[in-house]
Amino acid sequence: MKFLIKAAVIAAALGAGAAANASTLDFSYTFSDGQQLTGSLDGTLNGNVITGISDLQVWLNNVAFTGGSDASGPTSLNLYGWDSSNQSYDLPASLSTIGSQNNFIIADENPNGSDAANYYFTFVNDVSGTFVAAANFLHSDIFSGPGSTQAAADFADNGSWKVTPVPLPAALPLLMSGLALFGLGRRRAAA
Amino acid sequence: MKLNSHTLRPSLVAAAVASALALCSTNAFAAQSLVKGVVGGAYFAAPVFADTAAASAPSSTVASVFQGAKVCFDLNDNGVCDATEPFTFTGTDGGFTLASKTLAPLVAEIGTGASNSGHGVTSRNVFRVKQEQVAAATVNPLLPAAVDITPLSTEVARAVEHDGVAYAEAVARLAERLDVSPSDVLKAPTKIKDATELASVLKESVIDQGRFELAAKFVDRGDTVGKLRGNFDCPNVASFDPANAGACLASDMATVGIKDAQNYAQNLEGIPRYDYVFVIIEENESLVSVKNNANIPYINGLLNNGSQFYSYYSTGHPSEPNYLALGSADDWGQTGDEAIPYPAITGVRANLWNALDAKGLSWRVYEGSLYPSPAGTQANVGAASWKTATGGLWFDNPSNANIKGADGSTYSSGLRAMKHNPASWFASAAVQPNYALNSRSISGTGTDLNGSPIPYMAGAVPVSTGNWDAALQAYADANNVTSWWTGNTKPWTQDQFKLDLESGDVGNYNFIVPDQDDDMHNTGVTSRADYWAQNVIAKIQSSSLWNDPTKRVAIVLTFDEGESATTACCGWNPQRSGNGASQPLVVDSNGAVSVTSGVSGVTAHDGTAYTSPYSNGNHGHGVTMFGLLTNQQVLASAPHGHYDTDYYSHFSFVRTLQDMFGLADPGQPGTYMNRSKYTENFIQQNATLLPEFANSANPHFDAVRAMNHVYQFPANATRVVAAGTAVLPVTTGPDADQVNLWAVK
Repeated sequence: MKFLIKAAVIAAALGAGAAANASTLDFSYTFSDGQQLTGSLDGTLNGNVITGISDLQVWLNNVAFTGGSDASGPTSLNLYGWDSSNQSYDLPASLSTIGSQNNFIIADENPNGSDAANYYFTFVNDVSGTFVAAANFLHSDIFSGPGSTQAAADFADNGSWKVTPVPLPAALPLLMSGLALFGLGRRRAAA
Repeated sequence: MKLNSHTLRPSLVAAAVASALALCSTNAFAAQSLVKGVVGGAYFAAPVFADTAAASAPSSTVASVFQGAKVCFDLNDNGVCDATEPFTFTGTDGGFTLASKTLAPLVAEIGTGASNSGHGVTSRNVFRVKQEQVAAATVNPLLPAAVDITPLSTEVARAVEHDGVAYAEAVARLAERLDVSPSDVLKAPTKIKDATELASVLKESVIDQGRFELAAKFVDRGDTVGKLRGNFDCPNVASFDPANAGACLASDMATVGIKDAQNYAQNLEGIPRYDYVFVIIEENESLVSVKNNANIPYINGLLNNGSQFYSYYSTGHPSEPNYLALGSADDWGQTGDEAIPYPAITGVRANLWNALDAKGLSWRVYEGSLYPSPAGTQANVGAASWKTATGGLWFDNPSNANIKGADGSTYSSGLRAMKHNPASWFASAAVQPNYALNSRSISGTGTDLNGSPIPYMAGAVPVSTGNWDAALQAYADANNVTSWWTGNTKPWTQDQFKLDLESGDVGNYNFIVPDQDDDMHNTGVTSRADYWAQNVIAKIQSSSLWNDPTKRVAIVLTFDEGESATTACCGWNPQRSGNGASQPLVVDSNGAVSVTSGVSGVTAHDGTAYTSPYSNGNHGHGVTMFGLLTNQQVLASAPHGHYDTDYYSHFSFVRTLQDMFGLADPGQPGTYMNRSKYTENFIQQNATLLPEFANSANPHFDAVRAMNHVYQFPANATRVVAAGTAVLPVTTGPDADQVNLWAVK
């Protein structure tokens, strides 16, 4: 019995460790005009809040936010938190599974700087209201018309924001080994 | 929403701009912008004009959005969506979302492939948004900004660029002018919840859409600056004077872009747009008998404080032809008084009343000593009272003997002359549903809008010409008479004009007709007419309309006919021979000019033949007074105290009104009604169709032009003076200055 408890704790710890420290989460938002923003990130989900975010990837209407550059070279996506008290975007930032709790921008330039982003996704609940917007200045599509950059915007959260934890391939072996240990322990106990 | 008329309210807008600018100063993505909005405006279903009520229909207006409009960030601010600028097209909801790495103005190009809430767009239009509006709507450059592109946002852009006002002030002034909150004035009409505000925004949207549609035509046709500002010295200008050919400036030969064109469209032929015009028509006096006459000190003071046209000609004799001319730029061959039944002008002839209705503008005819009909209604068009050849008995059940003046004399319905109401002549105006609504009463007595008493008369006044306003009101009260212009929902008032000024329900164009005791017809140049004019003008000047500088208000005081000379100018018929070939010319939409039948021979409304030969009319009756006073002269910095000695006539005035209210296109002669299209160029190009102008001694004198003071007499010009008649001042060469007397700054 003592061994059984120990094995269960180990398995749970391995499984939980896989979700908290190395989880990948998918997110999506469907704008009121039908445009779709999707993405994924690595981060730690505690309750409704995701922190420690890295490896951001975003697609607007299936077009990836990639290829951006500035005078310094290629750019990369970062998550910034909106600080309404001093009207600035700061790092580090968090993201919520609940749309009305979001205050972030994902962009390939520092919003407080002077370089214009090549693409960004904003989800802000400010005293002025709720704003959801995305733009990709490197692409156009059927929504934006032949001469325009991709752009989508809502002036209210329409409730379509979703964040879905995805088991990462790297965590699966750990989970499986934990379950295997648990199974082995049960077999020995039975014998 | 009623707002303080004296106080501009830039606070909200200014705060928004300041806030946005402050945020922008954080350099968040520099001036990057993402906007979401709709291209919105109004859909105006034009009225249907016919000779019968059954075939007529009023106009209607609804808030609308434009589908398929091209929207772009106008990075180079030229008013055009250039190929390299980010653009998109509005969807079925009129919406668009557009992003730019650079904060910039917005342009919506509404082509003929677009639609207006499902209705095909027949003429290209361009709406714009100033960059400041995008900035003001931007909480943060990384957040979407709600920006609608509308006719009113375009008007704000035009005002900033041409009226010398900052963006926040332009918004505040527009909101003030329309009595709409600054937060709503730039919204697409489909988003405005307040019914009163929506009505005001819709009306302005219809007006501005029409003006800016015209601007797009200016650009597409390649109209030159000279043409648009009415420079007489430039070839192909409507009123081109060959005598001055060669004096056209090179800059006037340049074509215009859409931004300048939109400003010209709000100032057609140099005539600025006014919101309210009050025209008071007096009777039968020449300029020399009025000017400096000690019996009418108020009127002379008005002339001196405002501006004066010294060569303004009546166009016929007796009264009736002149009132017809004032209502339609043609007297239709009429050479007598009330010789034909009303409304005799059939066949849907062009007239000012229909033209105003067709553009969504309002009009009123205010008449003194209106009989309070016990039946509570005007007689239906075609009823016996309309058919009488002597006119006057316009109302049901008149019983004059019941109405006694304070002096015991009996009211005469002839005090109110039907011939003085030019709307009543045109069947297509008289059968419109709004005709009764627009025909209202005015009193020359009482107090101003502040309650201050105004003197009615001074000195000896003939017993038979008592003050009838009180007697008529007492009769109405005693008999519970209701007013037809309210649909008989309210008691009759002898001074609806005063109530309308208080409520702001006057027309954009207001034709004011005193009774024949008050208009100098029966009493001559006496203090009676002077006090009546003072009383009425005092009411106007104490109104919130007049005292709001954002609203442009003009008062015109003139006479139907002048100096007993058989002389006129400016579109008149100088041949006087009754040449049967002299018939009205019309221009179709393709520019083809043809002779149309005159009213002569057309069966009048009651079946009586109209017998006046067209070619007998439009002969003139000499010079009279034309004084102009505007609230822009009193409240703002508009020039005053100037005079203009160029030749004008009733036809010129009607052309001027068409410019002022945006009723015509200076590039298309056929859009000006009747003889007001007879400019020098038009006469020259259609000489074979206009034999009445053959051998003209002075083409400039004989032709119509807007009253814009653009023409400069050559230095050696000899003034054309009616034979045997002195005209003040006698001028040769240019005037002391060429100030446009209608100018607002």
